[in-house]
Amino acid sequence: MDFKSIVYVLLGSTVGLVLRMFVKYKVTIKTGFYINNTSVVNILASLFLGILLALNPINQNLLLLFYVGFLGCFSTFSSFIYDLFVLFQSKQFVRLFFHYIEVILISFLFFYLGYYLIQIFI
Amino acid sequence: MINVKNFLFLLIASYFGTFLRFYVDNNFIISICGSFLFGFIIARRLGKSLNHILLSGFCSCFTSFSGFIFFLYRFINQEDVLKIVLYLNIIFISNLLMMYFGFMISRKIS
Repeated sequence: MDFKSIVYVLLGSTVGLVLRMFVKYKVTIKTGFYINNTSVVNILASLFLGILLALNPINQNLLLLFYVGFLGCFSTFSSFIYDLFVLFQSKQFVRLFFHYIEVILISFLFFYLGYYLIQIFI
Repeated sequence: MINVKNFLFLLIASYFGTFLRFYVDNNFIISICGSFLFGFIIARRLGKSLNHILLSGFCSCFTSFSGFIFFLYRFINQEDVLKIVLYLNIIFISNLLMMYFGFMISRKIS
């Protein structure tokens, strides 16, 4: 790993971290579902991943910047598990099940949305 | 909201998490370790800023949801639906159990 690729990863992760902090503390969402800010971050990251995979970048540095740096720091799996863990501890098993199904399904939906939208335009 | 010193520590923690993820490069191991650490830290009742640095900075950058989606996407192109649902549930249950395990160990120590 040379100096240039380290700089790419650092740049991507900084942007991802700041954007995640922004969504986490400054954005308020009111929907009928159990969608909180962590889910919004994860769903957006899935959409970006779909777009990135459809573009199919050959350049290794672009992959380091967006996949390892930006998307890795923007999305968070452990916070998603923690949301489920809080529901698990308060013994709301039905709600846990629905939150889990909902987040996975919506993420995949947005992933394929990004994937096919780009393929239409190219 | 966040002062400059805490933000610098947050950045350093997130860089550390990112490079650790890059070198391990196995999504299942990363998510298991990240969940364990998250449960371990959340039970310690550290200060608010230290909690913020370790959880939002290190653990969240160490684990990545997009890597998990990418992992599932690669399986979808190879395997049948039943196997994918099985993998999904195994990942979910093992992560939840690891977080519970970390939480309990941390409570026992303190």
